Amino acid sequence: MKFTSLIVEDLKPAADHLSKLCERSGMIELKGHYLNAEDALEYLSENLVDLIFLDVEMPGKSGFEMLDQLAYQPQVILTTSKTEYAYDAFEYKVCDFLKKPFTYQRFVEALQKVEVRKKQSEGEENDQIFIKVNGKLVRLKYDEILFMESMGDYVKFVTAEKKFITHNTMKNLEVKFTGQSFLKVHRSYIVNLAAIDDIQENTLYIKGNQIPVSKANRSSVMERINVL
Amino acid sequence: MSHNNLRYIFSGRFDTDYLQELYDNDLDTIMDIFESSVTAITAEVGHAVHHYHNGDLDSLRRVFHKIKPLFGYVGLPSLQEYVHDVESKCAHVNSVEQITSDYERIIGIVSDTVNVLTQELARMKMYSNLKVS
Repeated sequence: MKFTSLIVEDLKPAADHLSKLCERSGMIELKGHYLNAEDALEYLSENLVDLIFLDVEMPGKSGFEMLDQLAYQPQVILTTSKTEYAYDAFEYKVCDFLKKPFTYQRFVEALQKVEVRKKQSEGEENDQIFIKVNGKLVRLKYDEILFMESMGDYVKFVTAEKKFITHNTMKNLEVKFTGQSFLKVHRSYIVNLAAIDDIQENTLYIKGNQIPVSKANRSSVMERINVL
Repeated sequence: MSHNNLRYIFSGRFDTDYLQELYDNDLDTIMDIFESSVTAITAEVGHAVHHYHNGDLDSLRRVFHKIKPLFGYVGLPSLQEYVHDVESKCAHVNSVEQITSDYERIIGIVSDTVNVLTQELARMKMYSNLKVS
């Protein structure tokens, strides 16, 4: 996978060197090079990128002032010759801080940090879902959901604390929750396998709730749970 | 006998190992960087003279900040360190007069360095042509 990227750097030799490193890595799809923050902001107001290689001191706005004005938060690798910016870099949650000039090896290390952070953020996105309840979007972490119950054109999401009713169908949710720790156990129920307390015959229990297990789904349930 | 594996040797002032590590022995890239660095250093030194004579300390510091990594890019890391020290000094004084000796030294160094870089660039081009022929 390649990161779409932008170089914001007023020093031509530094930008040339960085472009070569990007090309050599095979991990970067370079969308452009801007000599100042204002021009970069204009591009970024209409285009999304994954990563910005950003100088700090430039004519006009500084790199940090540019980040303050961005409407979204791409990953950032600071490229500067002044280590005194390390604290600000930390404050702005930049991915890495490269002191100019830097070697290819150091550059690749920075890209590896970007990859790790991207995976972490994808992980965060993948462990939650937003459901529409009474006109607002409510965030539910997957591990908070005990089970979902069909109510015709609506579905009830049950957590240990609350119940949320949203306009949806079991068929949609079955697709949505594939690959997670959820399983359809009955035409009206999808349960979080990690939340099951016990199973007796054709009924399973989650925090005091009785949930029927259909004959057709019982073997799938038994396959997915870890029976000794 | 082939001479294609003969490595370019930089003249004494340059940190050869540093340059080769930085550019992975890619002489074409090094020549490009030297060329653009000479252009950038020459332009910036003109700005430095202007700011010094106008007594504009902050702009002078910014020029030093900009020149500083260029010395690193051309394999002169000790000069990069020196300009870094002068840049830091700018933040602790009140007027350009207080850094006059450093300013004059940097202007002298830059002038000398541009000549050295230009000569080195000519050597590299000659070597590159030799390899091709």
